[in-house]
Amino acid sequence: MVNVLDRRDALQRFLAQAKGEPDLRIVGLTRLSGGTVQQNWRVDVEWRGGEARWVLRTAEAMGVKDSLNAAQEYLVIKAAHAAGVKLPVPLWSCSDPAVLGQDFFVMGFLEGVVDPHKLFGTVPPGEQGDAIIEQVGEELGRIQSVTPGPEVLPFLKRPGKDVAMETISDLRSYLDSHELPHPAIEFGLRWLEQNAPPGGDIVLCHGDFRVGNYMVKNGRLQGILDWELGHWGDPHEDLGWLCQRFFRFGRIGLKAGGMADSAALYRGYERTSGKRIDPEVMAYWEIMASVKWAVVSLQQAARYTSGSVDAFELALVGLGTAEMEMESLDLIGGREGLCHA
Amino acid sequence: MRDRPTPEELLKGARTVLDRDIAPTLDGERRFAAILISRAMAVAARAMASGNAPLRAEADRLLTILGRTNHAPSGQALHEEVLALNRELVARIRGGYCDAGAERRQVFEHLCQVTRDKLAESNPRYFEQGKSSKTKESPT
Repeated sequence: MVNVLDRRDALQRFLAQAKGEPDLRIVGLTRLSGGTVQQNWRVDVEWRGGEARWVLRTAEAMGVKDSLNAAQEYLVIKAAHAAGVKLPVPLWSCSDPAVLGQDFFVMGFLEGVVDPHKLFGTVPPGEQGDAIIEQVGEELGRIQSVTPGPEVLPFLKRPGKDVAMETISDLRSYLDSHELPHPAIEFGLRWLEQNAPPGGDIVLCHGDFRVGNYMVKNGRLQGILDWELGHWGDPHEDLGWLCQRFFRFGRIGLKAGGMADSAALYRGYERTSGKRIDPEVMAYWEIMASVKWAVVSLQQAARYTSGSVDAFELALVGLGTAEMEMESLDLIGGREGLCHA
Repeated sequence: MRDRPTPEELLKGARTVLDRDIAPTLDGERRFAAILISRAMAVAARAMASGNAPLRAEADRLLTILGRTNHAPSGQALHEEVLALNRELVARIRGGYCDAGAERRQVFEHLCQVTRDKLAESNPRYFEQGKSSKTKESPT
């Protein structure tokens, strides 16, 4: 792991040049909480006649599979920023190893609450929760205005027409490589395979669109954070992910991130995207989100049990697999009348 | 024969000290770590208490679903047997064996039971959180 503190002088030189202020000095450099793979550092700077607060973001060399490197994440943020999405303003990206020893980028500093439980403490359900989630839906509509094109984020893998089937195939390959069989997840994948709606538009997806990855201050959404899982995908992916049971953080009855009913989310989304939500297609992607999270929690646990990452919290994430298996079985069983009365 | 305290009593006592005397004195990331450790110890204690019973019941149901007439072995062989049976079940699910009919209901109920057994160890409070109430009442 790179120690940003050891690179303070090199970083200061880089920032002075990037900003065009030769006398720019770093007056504060502190690591922000959160992130085992990504590091976020708050950087306070001053120069003659000005000062600023920025955030430096850098990923460890051994990132999670499918996650973007810092230079790529920066470009995704720039594309979303250009589309009018609320997020920390992207400033500069740096791939020169002489500065930090690994890629990083610098963005504006946003103030507000991110932690789900703190957020629940400051935003009560009802009018305020609805208002935040509606704004979140509006931002998602804007994110999805970024679509593949010849010059647009060329490093992102272009999926074929059928995103759902490709996702199912990817999840199955992972399960095949796992030391243990997972029939409950397989039951969900089979259902997803047999009930896939026709593929729709391909749009920019955030990839981890949920409470905990957006910032709120005084009842207003400040910005969408953490874009390292950005990819081309189906418009329903991020909507389903936000509504997934695990990301309601105990407030099970409030489907949209434990903050509001999904109606508030759809209202905001439909306003900026110009699309109408089809509840049947949405139900499909909610099951997809549960099954996918079951697999992701297996992957997180495997990073710990294989010894590759010494982060005990990943072991506990692994225990969440059973919760997502139960949820996907409940959702499928509920549709088919398989559950006990 | 081992003396008391039993391994279960050791785990329970250690967790009590952690929760009562240590966690409240910590804050920030250390407090978070203490809560994680406590939760991990609770899960391990529940798994020790249920022992091989869920695995044996899973094996028996798998043998029925897969139409076997033999009985499940004991000890380490039980674990290996359940692994092999589950691999076969996975292949059947992918092949469409339980896409419809009585087979679907039977496999579904089995998978719900396996998952409930895991949750009873990993997060028993899951069932208090509402959503899954419609399935939790089935006989175990």
